[in-house]
Amino acid sequence: MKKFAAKTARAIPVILLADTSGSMSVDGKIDALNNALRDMVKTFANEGRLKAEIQLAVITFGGDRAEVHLPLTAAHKIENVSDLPATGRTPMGGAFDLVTTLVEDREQIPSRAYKPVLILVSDGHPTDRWEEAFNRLCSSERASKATRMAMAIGNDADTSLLQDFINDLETPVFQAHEARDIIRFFRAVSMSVTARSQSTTPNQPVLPVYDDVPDDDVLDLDF
Amino acid sequence: MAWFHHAASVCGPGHIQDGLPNQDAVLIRRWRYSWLVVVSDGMGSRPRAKEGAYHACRAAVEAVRQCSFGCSDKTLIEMLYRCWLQRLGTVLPNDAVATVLIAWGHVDGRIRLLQLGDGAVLYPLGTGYAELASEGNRFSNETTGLGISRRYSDWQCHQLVITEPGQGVALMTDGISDDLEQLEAFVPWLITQLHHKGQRYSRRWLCRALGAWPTPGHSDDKTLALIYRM
Repeated sequence: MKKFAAKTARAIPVILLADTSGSMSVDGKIDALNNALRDMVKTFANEGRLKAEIQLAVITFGGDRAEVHLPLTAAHKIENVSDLPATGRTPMGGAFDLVTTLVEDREQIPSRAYKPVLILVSDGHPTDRWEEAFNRLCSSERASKATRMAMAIGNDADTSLLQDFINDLETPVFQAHEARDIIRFFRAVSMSVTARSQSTTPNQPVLPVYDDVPDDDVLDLDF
Repeated sequence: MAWFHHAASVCGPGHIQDGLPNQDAVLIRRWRYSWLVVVSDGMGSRPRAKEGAYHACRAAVEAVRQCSFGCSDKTLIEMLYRCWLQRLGTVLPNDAVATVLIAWGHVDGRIRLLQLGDGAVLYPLGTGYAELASEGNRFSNETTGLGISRRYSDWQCHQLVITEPGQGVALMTDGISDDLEQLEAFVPWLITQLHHKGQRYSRRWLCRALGAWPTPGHSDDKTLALIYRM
């Protein structure tokens, strides 16, 4: 029977949609995001793969277009994630299209995978025609089933859009007012995903718990 | 040519860990001119899932006894559903949700296949094997079943004739099918492995193989039934 059984655990795909527009370069936001992302990769990579394999992809939207910064990869195989740059406009709609294409691709995310987790992080308003792309995401057969979480960074974020993005009322949009909040959010999401990966029912979302970051872990950033 | 069958069901490590029973069920009935194979998977999140799966198998027997082999798919499905609801009695259908996979065969080689929910029914097609229901747009552990579905279109139905020796039909719950690769070669391989084994030994062999399922992290109950002509 061995030759007919899959050799890897079922995957939990985690896809980060990261705002890398120019405004993210202000007040150390992009640095905090890069640090938080590195921590998240480390947490996922150290997680056992006995029950489920956590996979991570990073889609950025900044400059002229959205792009895949990190293709969907098993977390334990990620050796390095290059720093996200922060420049230009906020083509969030492009990111919605890319993530829809990714989740609908059964080669990359087969049916034996658990429901993906989409995490949207933004500090501003989209500058492209995002509405149609967002509707495509919400009405697509598979992407619409993903667990969607969001973090608004600063006061200029389009919180109403982020509110529309999330689909779990028990996990409202997380509001980050300072750099340490970005780290808190990523830690909570990391713990939530790793708890799912250890659960006997990995399709059930686990509520993130936003613990305080210890003082000695706070980055010295002004925002 | 004669028909041969084998079946086994094992409790998944996830259920053992949580102190839950095996919530799959399997039933094979052979009559003079026909036979029936049913596999059902009780939805783990429901409190009466085990009963739902058990009654799904028995309801299928009752349904085929009350229908002619040539009846429409819809008639058979409605009969099965009514029998299942009746057997549940005071148990709420939503508390006993269960998938149901059926192969109903005639000794002359005609077979009717029906499936509601996840799992897989593999049947011969051309020179290989095909899956009755495609994976569709679902993710792992997403399914429908008796107790949830109220639409005929949720069912997958197919009829075929098996004329060649060595051909058969395999029914399995998602604990196996979600982690199964090389579907085309699986049934012929199973037939080769099991054909010369007696019923008791083949069940032991299957239980051992399913219990030692090698996919990391597998947790579901696993149930497999095979019927073939030789």
